[in-house]
Amino acid sequence: MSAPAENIPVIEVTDLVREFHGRRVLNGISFKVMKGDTMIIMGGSGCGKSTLLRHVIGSMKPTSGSIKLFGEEITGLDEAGLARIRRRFGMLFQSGALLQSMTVGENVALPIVEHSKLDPGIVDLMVKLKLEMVGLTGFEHLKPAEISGGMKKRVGLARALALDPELLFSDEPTAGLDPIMVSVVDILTKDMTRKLGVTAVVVTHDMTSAFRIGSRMIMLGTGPNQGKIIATGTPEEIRASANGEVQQFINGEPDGPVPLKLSKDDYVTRLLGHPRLKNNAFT
Amino acid sequence: MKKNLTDFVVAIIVIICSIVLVLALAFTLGGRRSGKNDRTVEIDFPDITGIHLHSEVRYAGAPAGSITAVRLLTFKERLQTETAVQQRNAVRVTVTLRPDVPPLPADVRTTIGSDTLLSDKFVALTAGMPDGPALAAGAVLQGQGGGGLDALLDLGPTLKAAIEEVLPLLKKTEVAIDTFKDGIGDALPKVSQLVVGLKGTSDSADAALKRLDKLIDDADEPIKEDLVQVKKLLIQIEQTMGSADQLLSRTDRNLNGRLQELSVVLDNLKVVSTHAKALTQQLAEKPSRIIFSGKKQNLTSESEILKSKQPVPAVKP
Amino acid sequence: MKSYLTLNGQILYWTLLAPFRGQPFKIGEVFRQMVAIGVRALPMAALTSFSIGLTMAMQGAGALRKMGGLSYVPDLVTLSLLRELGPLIVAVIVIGRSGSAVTAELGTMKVSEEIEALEVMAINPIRFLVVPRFLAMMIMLPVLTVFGDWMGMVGGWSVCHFALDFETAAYIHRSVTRAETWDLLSGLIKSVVFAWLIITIACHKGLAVEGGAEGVGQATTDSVVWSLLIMLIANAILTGFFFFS
Repeated sequence: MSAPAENIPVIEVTDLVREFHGRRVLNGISFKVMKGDTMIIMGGSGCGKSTLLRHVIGSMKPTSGSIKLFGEEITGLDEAGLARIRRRFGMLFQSGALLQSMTVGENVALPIVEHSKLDPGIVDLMVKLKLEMVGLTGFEHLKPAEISGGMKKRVGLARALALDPELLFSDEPTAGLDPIMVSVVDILTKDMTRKLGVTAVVVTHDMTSAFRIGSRMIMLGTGPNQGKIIATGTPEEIRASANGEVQQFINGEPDGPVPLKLSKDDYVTRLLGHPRLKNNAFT
Repeated sequence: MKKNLTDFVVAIIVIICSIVLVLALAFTLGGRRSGKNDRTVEIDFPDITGIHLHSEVRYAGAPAGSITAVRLLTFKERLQTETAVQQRNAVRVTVTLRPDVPPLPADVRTTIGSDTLLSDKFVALTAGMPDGPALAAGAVLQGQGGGGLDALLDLGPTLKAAIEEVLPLLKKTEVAIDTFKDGIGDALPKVSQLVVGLKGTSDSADAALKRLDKLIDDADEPIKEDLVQVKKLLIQIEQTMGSADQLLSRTDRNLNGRLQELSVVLDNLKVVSTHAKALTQQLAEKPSRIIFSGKKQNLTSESEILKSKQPVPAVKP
Repeated sequence: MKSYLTLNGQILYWTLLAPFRGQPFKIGEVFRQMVAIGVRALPMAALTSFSIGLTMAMQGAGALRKMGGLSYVPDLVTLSLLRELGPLIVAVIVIGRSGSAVTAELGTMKVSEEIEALEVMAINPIRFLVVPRFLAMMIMLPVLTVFGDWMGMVGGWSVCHFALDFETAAYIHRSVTRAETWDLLSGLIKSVVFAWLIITIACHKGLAVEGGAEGVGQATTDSVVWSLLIMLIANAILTGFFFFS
């Protein structure tokens, strides 16, 4: 498992297109993630950021385009090849996705047990270390149902990092957490990436946390820009972006380029079935 | 890990229990498969209605083994047998005998029997005589069809047909008359004492046969053939009588059913004896008329004989 | 249908071939599933079979008494249990209890991203989740059927002994003289086929769940209905096969 050379991007997505029943959810997406970066994928609800992530981890197959992980094309890969790639990255799911039938400790141990032939004592030790890293020492014997949502996220993180991956994907890591827990998860993610040199891809719509941990960002558009990247750059560049939609998203304004409601004309057209003359009934 | 162990132990215990149970069941159903030295005997039957794999085999009435194989004989095999009776056999059953059954004597007879009309059929082996020669290894026994109700229903027509065949033959040869008179005549007085009588019939028919054998040896060529025919028919009569006899002498638990069977036997015997009466009468009075083609006898019909409560004249005036 | 056949193929691959290619399934998990799928269903299966044996003896006695054939009651109970009702009743219980549980469990895992998480961890869900359940079912359903056969015969015996005044020895004798080893064997063959159908349908429905808790409920219902239907059809085909061959 040779580390990729500095100049080879860890992730390289080119012209990714995905259609669901004729609707283009992803429309020509291209971006690169270099080693050590923390890439934030932002965008409003339904903009396709989760779909994009599913493609990058190989769960979904694109309609067209190419996805390279560690310099290897994964779109045409068979199961065994995909498994080989997948051992090199970890993923933190939105809900934590812990196996309910296993204890916290067994969940964290799972990738280690499955992909190595380590002695059970060593596995135990590694599990303890990972749990300590996320601040959950002594929770090994609890079932996922017995711990809080924030704890589940942290256990999920510990599991994602169990095999010391080079790359970490994180799907909405802060959704549904209280602000304190958000910052805890953020700091954990940041620590992992900065201290361990892990490359990270985080999907989020939480701006505070995005600017806190991100080193590069891309934003996906909605509406007419559905499935396209409307902004890309460092957090500073994004903050200074002239794009109205980006500004609206960052500042959390209810109305703007992304309309709160449909335009009045559209509304009338939809209501009555044909457009009315201007300055008529609704002035 | 500890929980895994509990699961493991519980699952293994359940599986082992089931294996024990299934083996116990298979062992009971399959019977004793131990004996490599189990003796087997092959028996040919014309019909084995009611007999199936694992049916019981009794030797002199006592449980002695079971049927371990049943197969149909091919036409070729059937044609290779010696007598017409043997050719009628269509099924070969293999019987596995228990080790404690003594060696079978050669004169052992096999039939299909049943305790009651409804109960399961079994293959019955008679005891035979202990001083007789032992059954040769690999010998195939000749079985007789079922002694149950079905077989009894067949008895009447068989007897009648046999006797009807005897009649024209007897017309041809005077020598045979005496012999036949002895055979039938012996039987007639004993019909009233039913069980003994039947036994007597087959015994005296036996004796008649022996005499007939001698007659055949001595006879001239033209008569000889007829005599052989008579002998065959007498054998047939004897066999039918034999199976009736066997059925009657068997221990009985279902008296009702048995009485029904008896009445059928009696009915048939009634017809046979009435007709035999006519025959003997005519033989005694005017043997020449039989030999020199007298006018055809007007015998009383079977249904008339059966209806009457009293002895009926055999010949209508 | 295609995905169902694919699942069957994958199960076979991960059960038979993969262990020899250094990707074994978890033995411990198999035993855990045996307890969950089989041992826990044992009391229910035993009780149901017992009551079926009981009922059949009573019904049989009612009909056979008229013909004076009371002594055939043990034959009737044993034969119909071994050949038909034992495998069938136990399979119905297992479908209702364990098949639905498997579908619900896998469906919930699908909905809560657990299965995707396994895939992303490069752990094949078929190997990790389906194969242990498959093996557990394939072993435990025949095992349960054996227990069911016995309990049914005990049911028949209790009617014959307490209501019809059979001697225990006579009952045992009557019940084993007519039945053959093949009757027992054909029943067990049936239960193996049923096990295959039940568990593959349950897993297939579970893995195909879409759309939240409602989807899980729908899939569980589907799984039970289809398992029952396919199982009964398979039973008819197998019976026909054994009958005519």
